[in-house]
Formats: sequence, structure tokens, C-alpha cells
Amino acid sequence: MCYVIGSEDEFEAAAQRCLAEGLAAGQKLFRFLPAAATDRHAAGNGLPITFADPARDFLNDGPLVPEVMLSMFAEQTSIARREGYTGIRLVADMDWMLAHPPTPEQVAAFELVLDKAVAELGVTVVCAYRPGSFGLGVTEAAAVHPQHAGSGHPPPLFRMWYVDDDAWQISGQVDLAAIVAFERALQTAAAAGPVRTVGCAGLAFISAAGIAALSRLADTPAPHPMLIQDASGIVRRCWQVLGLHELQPYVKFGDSTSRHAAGDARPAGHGDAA
Amino acid sequence: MSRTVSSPAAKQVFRHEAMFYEDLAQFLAGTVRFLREGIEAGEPALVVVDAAKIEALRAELGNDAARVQFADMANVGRNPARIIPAWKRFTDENLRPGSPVRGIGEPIWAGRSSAELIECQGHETLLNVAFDDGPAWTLLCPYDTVALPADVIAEAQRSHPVLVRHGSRSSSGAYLHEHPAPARWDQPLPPPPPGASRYTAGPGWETLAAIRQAARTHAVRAGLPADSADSFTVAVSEIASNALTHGGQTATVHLWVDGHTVLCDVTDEGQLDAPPLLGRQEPTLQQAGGRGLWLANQLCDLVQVRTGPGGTTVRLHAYL
Repeated sequence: MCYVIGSEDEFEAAAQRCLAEGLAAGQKLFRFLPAAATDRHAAGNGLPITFADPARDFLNDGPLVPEVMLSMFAEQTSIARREGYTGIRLVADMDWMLAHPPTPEQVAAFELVLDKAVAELGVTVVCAYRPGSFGLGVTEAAAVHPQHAGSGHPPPLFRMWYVDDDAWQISGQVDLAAIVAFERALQTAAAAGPVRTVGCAGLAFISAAGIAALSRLADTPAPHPMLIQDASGIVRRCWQVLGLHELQPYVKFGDSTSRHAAGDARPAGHGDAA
Repeated sequence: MSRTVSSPAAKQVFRHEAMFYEDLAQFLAGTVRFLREGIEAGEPALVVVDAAKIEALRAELGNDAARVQFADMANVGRNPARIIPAWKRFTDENLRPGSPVRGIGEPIWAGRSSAELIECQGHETLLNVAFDDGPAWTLLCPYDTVALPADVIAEAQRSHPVLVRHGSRSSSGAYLHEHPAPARWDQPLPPPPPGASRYTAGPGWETLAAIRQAARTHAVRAGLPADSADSFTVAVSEIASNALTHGGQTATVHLWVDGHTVLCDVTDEGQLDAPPLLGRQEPTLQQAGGRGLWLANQLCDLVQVRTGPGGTTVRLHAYL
């Protein structure tokens, strides 16, 4: 979930509720925040919370390295399970990234990679952004989370998030205002490996440029079978009148029950992406 | 002034001919002769006319009808901007070096609205732009001189370099080799009526999402079926996006209904500087943009583009 902080009190209350729910679910609780802010939350309102500043504790005060963060998640999840927890739940005040301020593109790219990792690990993560800290990065970060909360920013026009293996989900509206972020999100997804399934059940609108970007996904890094799932009739019609059904016969349309029509043999199952 | 020209096979260029006829018998005489020449030469042929004429041609050609492809102009040319892509597809699939093809297309008939008619006349001129520099093939365009007004016949003489009357070919003295506005982007449009709904899209104004919502609501209330309303909405959004991308900070959108047509004008302050075949060439995978007008042409029943120093307007028509 992406939480865009409008009011500190509101965020703190939401964080406590989220962590309390995690405790009830048997999850090990974490909070990430800048070291300078740790003391403010050290009490944890009585909840057993592990505090960390990723910049200091995992990245040696260096810049963001997504692979290091992903390894940390895998390790902490493994430790938590050995300790008898069902998994981990994290509320991250993303101001911790400001030690080496990332660009909006780096934020979105990290979040997409993180999304994939947490889904595979079954981790629950709330990433909280302050518009004053990240500017346009908040828009892109919100777009690459499956859920959005907080009063600090309007909901993003579109969302794209990892489902499992090589499958991603898109929802919302992809138009002129969202196309740059959308193309970037697709590129980031493709960089992790060929995308073979794109779920469009919640996709209310996609422009011709968005459809073209989606079509390029099937050719990245090389032409490969791709299933566009649960697309609306108008998306299918646009795909056809743009000639893409002939240019890319390896892209198929189907509903949620035809997931394997694109030729992949991936087992079913979804991570607990939050 | 005109001069007699040779039969289609003599010169290896694109030949765009207007055939004038007064009744069905003359239509069949001219078109069947044209088709039989091609059949004897082994040339693939495509005929795009109305359903009744297709039936009459099939009967007249007998077994030879199987060697000709037919398509109903009411479908292919409902929006005249879709006709050139259809011919392009036919020629791409059938033209071989030294082996021409031939076609018959009748995009203009007496029932066309005045808005359709001007776009059809632009289509006829654009055929020369689309195919003049390409390989040899012949397109015969029948014109009903009894049913069509004299000014339409006169315009056909300006858009076709070769005219056919009673089986005799002659060059057209009125033909415009370099039409100043082949797509008719300079022709004025009647303004939207005073009661049209008006919106402004752009930063600080309505979002494209709001414009889409207004367009779809308008289309559904006017009586368009849901899938047609979706198509109309996508077209409005694409054209408004183009206006905001290329035309300036804002785009003005008018929505209204005229008789059995749902209409939308998208106007911006920029002057369109684009090839006249814009929106009539099938997009490729690689091209960066330029899909919006193509999509609008495919999704709407008629699209009219007008541009000049005062700005650009694209008018979308969807028939109820």
C-alpha cells in the first residue's frame, strides 16, 4: 500500500492500526524511518516493533541499492518465520530515502521491484510518502502500489503492481497525464524479465499511446507470448483497429480463467502484496 | 480540354479514373469491361461499391465473379478516411513487380450528407497523394451523373486525371496535379450550435478524465449504444490529447446532437502542420505517436479536420 501523508497525526494513527492488525495476524512488526526520527516512535505505543533506518542499517549510509533491500526482506522474513511469526509487516516512512534523494524514476523503479519481492515473500508493506519530501515522486510511487491511502495526495490516475511470477496488474486510467509514468512502470517491469500476463480488470481507460506502450511490452526484451487479461471490449477493439492483432499475433486476450493461454506454465497463486 | 489516353495496361503508373454513368446498364457496361480486361490479364481485382451493385456485378460476371473480390462500400467507406487504408492493404497483398492490379471504388453516392461529401472529395484527391509515387495499378471510380449534382461531377474531374465516358478514356483538363488542400483541411465547418455543451481541457481546467466522462454521458443520453459510446469517448480523448500536446495549453470541446448524429468539436489554437494522409496510414509498431487520428477514424463514422492560422478543429461524428 502507498500511504501519502497529509497529516502526521493521521498517519501515526493509521500506522498504529496497521501494526496492531499485523500483531493480531501473528506477523513480526517493523518500522522504517530516518534515524533522527526513531526516538519519537521508540515506544511503539506498547507494540513489539523493530525499528530501523535502512540507509544506516542496511545500506551503510550509501545510496539506495534495491538488491540489498530485497535481500534484507528475504532474510528478515526467514528469521521471522524461524521465530514462529507468520511473516513480517512493515510500515516504512520513506523519508529514510532522503539521505540520498532518489529521482521520481528511481522511486517508481524501486517500488516496482519491491512490489514483486514482497508479493513473493508474502510480506505486508505500507510505504508512506510525504509530498513535501518527494514531489512528483509521490505520484509515481502511488501509481506502482495496488492500494492507496492517506489524505496527502489524490489517488493516482493508474496503478500497476506485481501479481506473481511474470504477471502484473494495471488499473485506473492511462491517458496523456499518466503516459510517461506508465511507460516507465512498464519498462521497470520488463527489466525484471519478460512480462507474460497483464491483468486489466480495473483498467477503465487506456489511450492509444498507452496501448502502444503495452504492445511494446510483448517485444521486450524480445517478442514473446503475452496474455492481456480481462480487458474491456473497447481496449480489445482499439488493439484490433491499431492493427496490433496482426503485428503481434503472439499477444492474446483472455479472461481470468484463461491465464495460461499465452503459453506459459506458471503455477497459480498470489502473494500477499499490500 | 481533354485528350484521348490509352487503356490502363499501356502505362505502368497508378491510374485514377472517374467513370461517368447515367444508369445501371451503363455502370455495368463500363465496370464489367474493366474487370474482364483485368481477369484476362490475370490481374487481381477488388470492387468496393454498394450491395445492390455487387449483386448486379456478380450476376453479370457469372463464373468470373469468383476471380474478383467484393466489399460493401457502406461498410468499408462509411467513414471515407478508411478507404485508402483498404486499398493500401489490397495493393500490398496483391501487387507484384510487373503484375498490376485493378479496383473499382464508388465512395460518392447521392445519399451522402454534405459533411460526408466534402470528406469523400478529399478522399478522392488523397488517393493521388497516396498512390501516385507507387507501383502501377488502376482504380476506377464510378460517378452517377444523373443522381449527383453537377458540382460533384465537376469536382470529380479535378480529382481524377483520367475520365471514362461510354467506354472512352480521356485525360481530364480540369485535373489539379498539385491540389492546394488535398485533405480539404481549409474548408470551413459550420460552428457548433448555441446550445452545444462546452468544456475546456487543460491545466487548471477540466482533466481529460472529466472530458471523457462528459463525452460518454452525452453519447449515452443521445442514444448511442454502450459500445459505440465507448468508441466515441476514446476518439474524443485522443483528439483532445492531440490538441493539448500539439495545439497549446488548452483545448475547447463542444458536444451536441444534430438529427441522428452525435457530434464533438475539439478546437485548439495551433495550426496543424502534418502530411495530408495523417490518420489514413496504418500505424506501425515502431512509430512514436500519430495513432490518435487513425484511431478516431476507425472508431467514428466521420472525422473532419480543419486547420489554419486561427487554430485547428477536429469534428467527430457518431451516427445514432
